Amino acid sequence: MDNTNFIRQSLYLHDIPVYEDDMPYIQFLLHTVNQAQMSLNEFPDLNNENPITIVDKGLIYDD
Amino acid sequence: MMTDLAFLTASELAPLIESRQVSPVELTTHTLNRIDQIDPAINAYITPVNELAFKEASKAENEIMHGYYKGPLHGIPIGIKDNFETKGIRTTAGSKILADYIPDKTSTAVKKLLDAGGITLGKQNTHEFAAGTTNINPFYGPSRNPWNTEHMTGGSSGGSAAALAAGLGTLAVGSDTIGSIRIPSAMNGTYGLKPTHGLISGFGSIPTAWSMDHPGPMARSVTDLALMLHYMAGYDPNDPASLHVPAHNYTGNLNKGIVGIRIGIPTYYLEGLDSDVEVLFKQAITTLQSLGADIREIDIPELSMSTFSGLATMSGEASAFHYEWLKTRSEDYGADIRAFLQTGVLSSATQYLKAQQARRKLVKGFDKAFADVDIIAGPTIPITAPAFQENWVEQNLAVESRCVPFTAPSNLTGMPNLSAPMGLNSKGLPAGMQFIGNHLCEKQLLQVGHAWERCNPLGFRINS
Repeated sequence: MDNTNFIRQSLYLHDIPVYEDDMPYIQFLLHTVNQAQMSLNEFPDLNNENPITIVDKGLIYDD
Repeated sequence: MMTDLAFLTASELAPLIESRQVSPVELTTHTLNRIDQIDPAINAYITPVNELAFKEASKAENEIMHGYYKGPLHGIPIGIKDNFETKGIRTTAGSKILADYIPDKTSTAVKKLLDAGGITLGKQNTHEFAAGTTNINPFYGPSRNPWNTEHMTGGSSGGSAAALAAGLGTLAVGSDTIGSIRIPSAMNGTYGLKPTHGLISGFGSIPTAWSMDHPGPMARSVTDLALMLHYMAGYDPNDPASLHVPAHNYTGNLNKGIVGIRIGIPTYYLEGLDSDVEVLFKQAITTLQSLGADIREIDIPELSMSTFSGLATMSGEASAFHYEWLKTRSEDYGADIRAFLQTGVLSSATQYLKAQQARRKLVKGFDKAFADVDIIAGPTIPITAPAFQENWVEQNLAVESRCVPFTAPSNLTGMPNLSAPMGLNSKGLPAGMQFIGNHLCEKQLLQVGHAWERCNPLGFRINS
């Protein structure tokens, strides 16, 4: 996932300029996140959890 | 030897101000003079506001002279991290993009302190958009650690912690998205509190990552953290995350000690420590035991998901906030923050939601732990302040990789976390210890922090 073509094309699709000098840093960060994501494998029941989502209590009314 | 006015805490200054032994003008002028003399070497402030500070101090002095004393923050000089909006005062968030931004309102957290009589010293240096952990800022220069100016302050509230350590302000307002109050507190030998999410309003702060942002107090003592929290906490209809909870007297339990308090040490926090930090933490555990705490080693397996959940959540939310600027003003970001934000753009909605599933599981893991212990403790971060390196972008990534596993959990769970000095390493640089409480248990957290502070963890008082 952290190859440079993927990074270039994805940013291009978002209309975000690409800086070649930034490429190693983006690769490092993507690699860090992807490596860290492997920790989820230790929790096979993770899909039983509802994701925390922002439910603004100010928007909930009981009229 | 009498401690310099600039190093007295707010709780020490308050009775002197109330009894008119120290005047707000004298105190503020003394602090501003120190900023003029010392800050060129520290770079804690992006925008000092000497004229305004003097005006506010004169007003406070006049009020007190006429018998109108507002309370313990009246006449106390306060620095404000530059990601909090301040009406009529430039608010850069440490960025080039907002270099000329002058807000038309003041953030709630800051306004409450000023309404209590606090004096605005100025806007303090931060990592760009409060989104990094070193405070190496390509636009305003790095803040420098007062313990050794060749070393970083950490960030992103690095200017605030450095100002406290150097006597360039009595109190400071910071913010913490993935450790930004606690990392610089640890690296500068000062105290910082990241409260329960929603206890202090975030209205009027420039967002880093909405669901992980926490405004909080920074100070040179636990008592001062409690004083600040008393004024900063409270419901704010302008912040959708603001909590409806009763007000507490956060100083109420400070002197109760910690006999019988159950403190859990997760095995997770014993891994990957620099050797000096490890030694200091082991000594700290022994000290806490000698104070009567019941120390228990515990296991919270869910902590292993913190780095993923923290980075995926923060980069995703931050990139959403910055999305238009990334398209139109990409060249105006520092390389480290641009790369971080672009990583958020490249991550998927699936990853973000996986991170939120992990986050709920993490909260459950902590809830389970808090059934058996009152407080959880660990080193704030596994390192002390690193010396500046040539490649500051790589250094930011490296520091972040070391610190985030230790600091992200409390941002993800929203649980309160107090960082206190733990001691000095072999090079004379401070290390920090973090105490974590269950949601809204700030009173007990401050009680434990105060008991620890009374052991004088640095071995002396910062006063010169």
